[in-house]
Amino acid sequence: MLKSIQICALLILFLTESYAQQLVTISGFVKEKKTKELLIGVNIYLPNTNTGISTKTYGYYSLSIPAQDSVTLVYSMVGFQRKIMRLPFNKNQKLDIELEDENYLQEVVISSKSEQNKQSNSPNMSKIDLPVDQIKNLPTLMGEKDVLKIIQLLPGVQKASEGQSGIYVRGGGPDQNLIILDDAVVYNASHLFGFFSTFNGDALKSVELTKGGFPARYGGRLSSVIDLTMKDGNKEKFSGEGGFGLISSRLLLEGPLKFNKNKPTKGSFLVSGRRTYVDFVMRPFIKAQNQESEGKQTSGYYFYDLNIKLNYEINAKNKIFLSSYLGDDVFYNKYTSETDNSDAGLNWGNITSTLRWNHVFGQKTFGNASLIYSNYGFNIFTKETRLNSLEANNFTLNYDSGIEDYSLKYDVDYYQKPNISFRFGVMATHHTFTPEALILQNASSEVNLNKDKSYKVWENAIYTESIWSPVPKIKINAGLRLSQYLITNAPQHRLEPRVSAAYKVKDDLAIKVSYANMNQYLHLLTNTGLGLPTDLWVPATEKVAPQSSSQIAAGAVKDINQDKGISITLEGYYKKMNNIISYKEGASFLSINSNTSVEDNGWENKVTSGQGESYGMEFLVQKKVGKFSGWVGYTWSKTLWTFEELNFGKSFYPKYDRRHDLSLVGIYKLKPKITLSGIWIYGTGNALTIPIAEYRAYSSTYIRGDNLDNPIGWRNFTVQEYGERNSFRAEPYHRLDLGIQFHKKKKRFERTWDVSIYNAYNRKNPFFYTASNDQTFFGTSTGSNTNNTLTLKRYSLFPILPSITYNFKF
Amino acid sequence: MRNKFNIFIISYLSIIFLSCETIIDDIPLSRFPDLQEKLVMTSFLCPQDTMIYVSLGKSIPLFGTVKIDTTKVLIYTGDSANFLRVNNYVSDAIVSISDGIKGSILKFNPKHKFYEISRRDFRIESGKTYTIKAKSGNLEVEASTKIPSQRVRINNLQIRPFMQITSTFFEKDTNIGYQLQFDWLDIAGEPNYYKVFGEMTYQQLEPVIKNVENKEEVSIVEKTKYAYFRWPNEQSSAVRSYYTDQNADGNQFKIGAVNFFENRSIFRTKSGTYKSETVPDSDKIIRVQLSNISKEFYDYQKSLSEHNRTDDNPFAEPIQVYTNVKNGFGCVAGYNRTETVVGTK
Repeated sequence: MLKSIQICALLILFLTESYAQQLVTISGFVKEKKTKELLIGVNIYLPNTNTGISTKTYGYYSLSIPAQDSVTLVYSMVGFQRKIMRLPFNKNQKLDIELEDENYLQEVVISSKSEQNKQSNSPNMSKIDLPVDQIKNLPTLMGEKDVLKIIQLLPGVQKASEGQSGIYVRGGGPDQNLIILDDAVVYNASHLFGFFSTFNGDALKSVELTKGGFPARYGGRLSSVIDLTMKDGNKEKFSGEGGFGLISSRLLLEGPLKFNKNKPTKGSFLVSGRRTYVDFVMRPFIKAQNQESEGKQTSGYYFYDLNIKLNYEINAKNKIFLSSYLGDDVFYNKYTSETDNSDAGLNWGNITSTLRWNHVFGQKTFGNASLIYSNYGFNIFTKETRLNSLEANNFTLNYDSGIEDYSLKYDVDYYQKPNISFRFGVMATHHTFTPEALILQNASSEVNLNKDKSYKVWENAIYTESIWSPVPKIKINAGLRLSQYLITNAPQHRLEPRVSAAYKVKDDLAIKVSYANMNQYLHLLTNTGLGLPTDLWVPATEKVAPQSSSQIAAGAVKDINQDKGISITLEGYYKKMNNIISYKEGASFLSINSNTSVEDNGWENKVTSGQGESYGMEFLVQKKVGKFSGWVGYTWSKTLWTFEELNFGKSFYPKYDRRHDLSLVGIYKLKPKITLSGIWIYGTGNALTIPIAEYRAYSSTYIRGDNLDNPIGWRNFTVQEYGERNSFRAEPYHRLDLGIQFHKKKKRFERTWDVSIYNAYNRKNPFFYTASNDQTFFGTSTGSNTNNTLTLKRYSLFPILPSITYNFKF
Repeated sequence: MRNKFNIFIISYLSIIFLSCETIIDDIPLSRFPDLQEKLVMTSFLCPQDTMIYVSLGKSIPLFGTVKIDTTKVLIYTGDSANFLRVNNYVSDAIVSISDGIKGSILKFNPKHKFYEISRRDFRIESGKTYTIKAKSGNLEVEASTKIPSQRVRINNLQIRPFMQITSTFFEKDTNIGYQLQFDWLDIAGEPNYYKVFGEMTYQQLEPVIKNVENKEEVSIVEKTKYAYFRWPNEQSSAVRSYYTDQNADGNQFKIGAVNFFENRSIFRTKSGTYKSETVPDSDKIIRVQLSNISKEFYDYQKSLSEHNRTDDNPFAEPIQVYTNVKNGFGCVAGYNRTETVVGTK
């Protein structure tokens, strides 16, 4: 608390500081030349000084520096040609800049001789911008390019099980990631039980991962922020791209919105879709099977997603954007015969929608208002009808779970001076949680559990943050967020101080430290951690307190060999988490037990809360430019959980505690037409609970001792012994993926054949373990003996899996 | 070009076939660090009991080849039979009990496989702490428990005749018996745990079938039978038998309705089908016990019933059964009991 007051005082001090010199402001938008797409993360700086700024989400920049006759400004970004502008600089001016993609200079090898994008320049730490273009070059599982799986390759981030897109950041759970797509929260970012993520790489402009030192503008989750921005759409001409893969096809179309041929384009649109076709492929096989059986069965699975974005420039000062995402996973099974009908299904999906309005107030202030809708729903149903039965013998089960949000948000960026800028905002979100609504119906009874049990809560926040450079060598991002949570009659207010600072030791070496306090007012109930749709989102309630965390991190960044754009990052962190929840021992999703009453079956009674602690070291070497690019990431970490009601109060390793985690990622442009790529990953095995022994346990339940075998009336059971919770370590995970791409420019379009080999050396990685019993009976004169051989078996999921995708772009 | 494409297709298909081999593998035993046998010791100590019993068995590592003797493993518990897979007992151990000052050795009873000592030879007293030790070969275990010092009285016991209509797959039937109601007052100012237990003794007429020279002879005899608490809407009594005063310190605990039902058996013989029948106007003895149990008693029983409840649910988190036995498994727990016995006449 004292700390936050000090920060506040500092902020006020510098707001009121008088102007020493007359400052001149240059501001504008930076766009991509060909498509007029607004560019995020473009660095604008005065060469050989520490004065500079970078564009934010809407491509806007504003730089105030002392007036002078002329200045040289550099605009630069990875993957684009640098632009150097020499301008007179004695009065305020507006300058929109267009940068050209460096790939369009086919034969010229670009040497990026500059201090562009130096990691050591930014005050933020634990933040990684994912190069969306690099993602497209990497090998993948079944040809599906997946942003979240690439994020798993970064240090500090761990995957769940084989093939899963669930994300565990610095010892945090999969619910502690704030995944936002154009400002809208995406609650379940997985398709097909987590094997694919919901994000279609074609439609994305930028992906940014923050693991610690969170700026105050983000809140509501403990462990990470994954901020995804959709492309705006090509403003110059109608274009598209797409691909045909083994399991799905995708298509993206974009183009200008023209209402008047004679006027310049004011807006653009983008539509991008993807759908799997396993169900179409399977249909003939199912039909063949139907011919043999009495009834008719149709079953299948598909998922699709659709991204839509529209933007319109009302005038130079006002822009509006509308973006929407829609995705669904559907399993269906229908059976019809003369005697009975059955209809069953399982589906889940997200809908998000964001309407935004950008407004430029003068030159130094940029505002954005967002109206956001987000919805996640999950449903299982079974309906059985027996036609010929005398009694009506119908059975219906319907289970719903979901969350629906409406938010309103306003953010303002204020660029006061070259060494100080501010950002502040307010946000209000109304959540409606329906954790579980179950209806069971048969001829004789109807059970209606928690049908109307939904929670309506408000989650609000105000924040302010400032980037400030008191002396040229030090840059500080300090902020404060006040979050408010309204459920029933007990509002909760929590103050979250955030600070990160960088000290530039040398031109190419910086030391950084950060502290962040986070609160999370919702929990994810998960048995498996697999990102299954059976995971339930639940609000913090009077019984189940909100989660909170504090994290400190320290690290160093060094840029070496500027021609090749190599940077090395080393970071250490310590994170403490409070009130994280877990299922109680023995509890599970949808365990309807006739032993317990309806109230006992509610989720609040199935969970228990505890504490988590995580610490580790992360090492990252990155090379972003040149013929060869890629990264090496290594993490050493340790995570411990302590729950009063689990493991009898003793600390234990959660399932995804991982001591070592290594990723090697490389992309090599062999020829202009051929790109090679490879990924190798290694991770310590998951911590699991596995039965190791069996014994006879006596219960005191007293009964009359009236038979010879049981004179004292104790009852006995065979029980399993598991050892300490999660004391079994699965075998380590490692895998090599290889990819090759052949590019060719055709007359009207450009095509790419993309061949991937997943798990190239066919490593049998553990997916789960199960005990299996081989018994041989042999009779004896007194009874029978059993020769019992129990073995633990490892099930692996993906052997070597090649795939091929045809991609096109026009 | 076509040729190249064919080569590509062939190599692709061969990779697919190669990958179709099994993806299930055995895990070597060397990955398990601790696969030794351990002793399993269980005892419940109560000042009101006439005998002290200690059961001593061994845990069997699950993995690897184990010979299990499956003779005599049917254990009858009330109205159901449990098939036991692990039925080992340790008969050669030295088992001792001590209150810190005096101690005694328990004797193995080969008939029912428990170690035992009578109250005459070793007395359990309220408020004292007892330690039981067992040693067999190089395995050694011990566990301690404190007997709760206070007993809690059963108040306001009410008994009324009760009938319930049940529908089975074959027919509509009735359950005949009694419904009980009672309460007790929690001891304030300390954490307490309770166990309730009920038993009804009744007489039934049952056929006894004898085969004499290939002929069936049926005679009807009177037999003493026992029934136990049945909770409304419950399949198992385990969940409702144990109570804690957490968040209810000093409160009155009330059992609103719990039932006893007479068990009806059907005997199918060559000469016909017989049903067991109630002896008209016979007196039934109802016995209700309320035990003030130690925390380890509560934790152990709770984890045991949770373990059994979720045995076959693949999604459920695994349950560790509580133990307070050092270097082994099982539980040594104390309790202090009151009892009310009422005849229905």
